[in-house]
Amino acid sequence: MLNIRWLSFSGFGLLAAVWELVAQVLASPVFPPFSRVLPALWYLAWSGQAWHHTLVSIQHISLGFLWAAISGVSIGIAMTQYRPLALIVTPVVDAVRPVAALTIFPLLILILGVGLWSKTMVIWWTAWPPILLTTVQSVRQVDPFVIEAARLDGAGRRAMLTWIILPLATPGIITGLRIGLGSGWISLVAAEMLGSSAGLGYAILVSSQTFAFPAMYAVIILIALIGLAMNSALAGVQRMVEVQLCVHT
Amino acid sequence: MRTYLNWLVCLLILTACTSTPAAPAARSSLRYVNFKVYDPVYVALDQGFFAQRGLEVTIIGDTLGGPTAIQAVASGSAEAGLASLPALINANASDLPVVGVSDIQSAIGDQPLEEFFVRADSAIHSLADLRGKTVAVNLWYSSFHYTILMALEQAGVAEEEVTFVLLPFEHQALALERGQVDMIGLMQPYTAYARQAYADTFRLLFTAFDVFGEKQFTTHFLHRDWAADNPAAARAFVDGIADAIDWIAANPEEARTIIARYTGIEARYIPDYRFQPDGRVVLDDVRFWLEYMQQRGDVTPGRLTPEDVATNAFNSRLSE
Repeated sequence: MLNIRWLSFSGFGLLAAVWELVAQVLASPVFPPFSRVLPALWYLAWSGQAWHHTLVSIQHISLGFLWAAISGVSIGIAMTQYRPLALIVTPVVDAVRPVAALTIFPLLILILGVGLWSKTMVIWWTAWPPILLTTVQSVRQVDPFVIEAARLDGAGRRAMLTWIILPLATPGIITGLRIGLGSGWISLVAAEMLGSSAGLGYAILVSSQTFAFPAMYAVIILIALIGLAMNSALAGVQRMVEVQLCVHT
Repeated sequence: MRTYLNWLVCLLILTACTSTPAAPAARSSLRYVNFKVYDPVYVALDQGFFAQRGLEVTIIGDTLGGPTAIQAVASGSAEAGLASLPALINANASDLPVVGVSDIQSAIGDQPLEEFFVRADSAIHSLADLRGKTVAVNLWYSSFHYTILMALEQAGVAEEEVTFVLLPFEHQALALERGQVDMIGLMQPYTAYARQAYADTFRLLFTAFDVFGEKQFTTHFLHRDWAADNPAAARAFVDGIADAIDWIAANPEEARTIIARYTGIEARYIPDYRFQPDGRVVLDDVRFWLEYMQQRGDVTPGRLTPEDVATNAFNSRLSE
């Protein structure tokens, strides 16, 4: 019987093998083989640079994601309860979603400067829409028969939301949080183009601009690993919630 | 018989009409990665200086700066671009196959190229006052970054005493006006825009001239292997640029109009521009940047010579 844990790691092994093969075939100076990136990743970790840049970026990501989660979930739930709010917010979200954070840099500098909050805002800008939209969808997809049954049992609006709708929508909301977290990581490099002197996105820019490509890809791998760890933590929370829902329903 | 002859005549006429004309003279082609500055390549394209030499130059897209252009050329997506000499040095130190071939940006004559501004009401009146302050740079380890580092050294200020932050040119003036940074470094057309938009708000602190006098900063570059395999095309590119530089000197107003058309930048923000005579690469200036980067440890000493980074070999005016 296949060991599930080894199977889930084999995808990374396959990716590394493909990377090595493609890089060797292309023989391009801008795409080093995986075997050249590994020593750079080791140096990054051993020299302490990885830890320093990671802490800075986690601060940026955490703040941006926290704001996106709070605003996305709360506004998303509110939109399902108050139709006028949904009518106002939905077209605005659809309109701004395709707008890249890079294009609003002047506005960010004007209002927030080039420090922590402008980077937080860039990450919030990309993480917030998927969280909001998935929250709305998850709440609306709660089984209407369950809602009707609760109403027949005498559940008021607040009780319905608190004890029926939100618990049942939570797994879907967490999925939205996971998507938003991924979006936030994607915008990290853009965020750290705005007045940074540290961070993983900053490290990618410095490596790229000085053609230290093994180091650049090493940082990209580090971002992927950290993103995977954060996403796995959220997935664990999601599984716990799903188990609790099975136990209590 | 008559029908046969009619068909034969028709066949002969058809053959004459569809016969392949004589093949045109072979033309070379070159893809050029764009960065919207005062670039003689635009003038050369507009005035046909490349076409006259049988070279078809295609501008394939905009970049954020020299390192991006170098990566595009090194990966085979283009044959030419422009980049600062520090970027070309870094690229060659990383074994990227690029070589500088003609001038595009030099602090020369009355053209300092790099100008560094502070707020007019700030307490910064000398480089020594930059201790503890925040300085914006457009790219890491760019010519601007190194110029500031040299200036700080001359003023006895250690690199660690200043905070450098990355900020693209187009955002620097606003950041300085809002007090988000304490000093910015600009080149044209951003300097012209800042002078007009923030005339009373900004004060010039120093220029590149103050740091090291006349120096070449940026060159056009070619994919080294492509140039070796296509020397005639490489010469056509460099010679076309040299002709454009002469034309610009003789027709500055018209040149500004051409640059405005190609870049989309309003002509009022485009000053007159000077170039090195014949568009030459100044190898002494390449040595200047290389030695500084070696002294800082950013490039391994002995790893490169100026001739590894740039050459005038493709400039017919200099190599004949």
